[in-house]
Amino acid sequence: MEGAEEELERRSKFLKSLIQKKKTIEQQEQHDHLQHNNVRVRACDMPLPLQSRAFRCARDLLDSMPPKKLDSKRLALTLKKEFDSSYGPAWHCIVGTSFGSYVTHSLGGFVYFSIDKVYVLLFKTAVEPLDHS
Amino acid sequence: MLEGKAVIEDTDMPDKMQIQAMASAYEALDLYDVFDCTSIAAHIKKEFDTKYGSGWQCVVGSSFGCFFTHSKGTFVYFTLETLNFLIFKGASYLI
Repeated sequence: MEGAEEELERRSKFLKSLIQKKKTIEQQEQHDHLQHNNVRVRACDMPLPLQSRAFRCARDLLDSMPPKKLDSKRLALTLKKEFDSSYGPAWHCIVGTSFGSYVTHSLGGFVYFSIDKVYVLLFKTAVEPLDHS
Repeated sequence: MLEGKAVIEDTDMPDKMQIQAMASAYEALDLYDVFDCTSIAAHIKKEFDTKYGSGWQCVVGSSFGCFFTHSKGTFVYFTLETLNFLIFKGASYLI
């Protein structure tokens, strides 16, 4: 009887770890799925790490917003501030469902992508020294 | 010819420059369809780069939010017909 209890516990632990692994795999697949299917780069002149940073930041914030309610301004603010503090001034961000733009940007500081049904334009411009005249 | 009138929503631009912004917008809307936001924005930006030096940015559309850093005295946001217009110069000043 003691041996039977040990065997049951061993099997129980094995099953639990199996279930946990399956959940982890499913979560990873869902993550990849979301990334792959919901973020699409439309135009870009930006190193990959910065791109990934922008996508992750946008994804996290959109997920935290109530479904079907887009706060363009908040997303634009969040992205601009994150990039200003991480990669230096001055970044600009436009978010929306219907706009066109024409901009001049710094080399390596431009990405235009869509995530869900929102379009995001994030770009950097040069910083000029203060005129002391 | 457009019958609508531009309405300034927010600005720190000199009056003369504001007038130029709205004139450029009217001009662009005569040249391009109201749905061609990118061409409208391009026209206005190029006009400002030519008249006031390079580095201008322009966003045109019916649904967008944004955050940006602009040079002092170079920002205007106005509406005309069904569109919103944002024009600013993108450099920022540092000490």
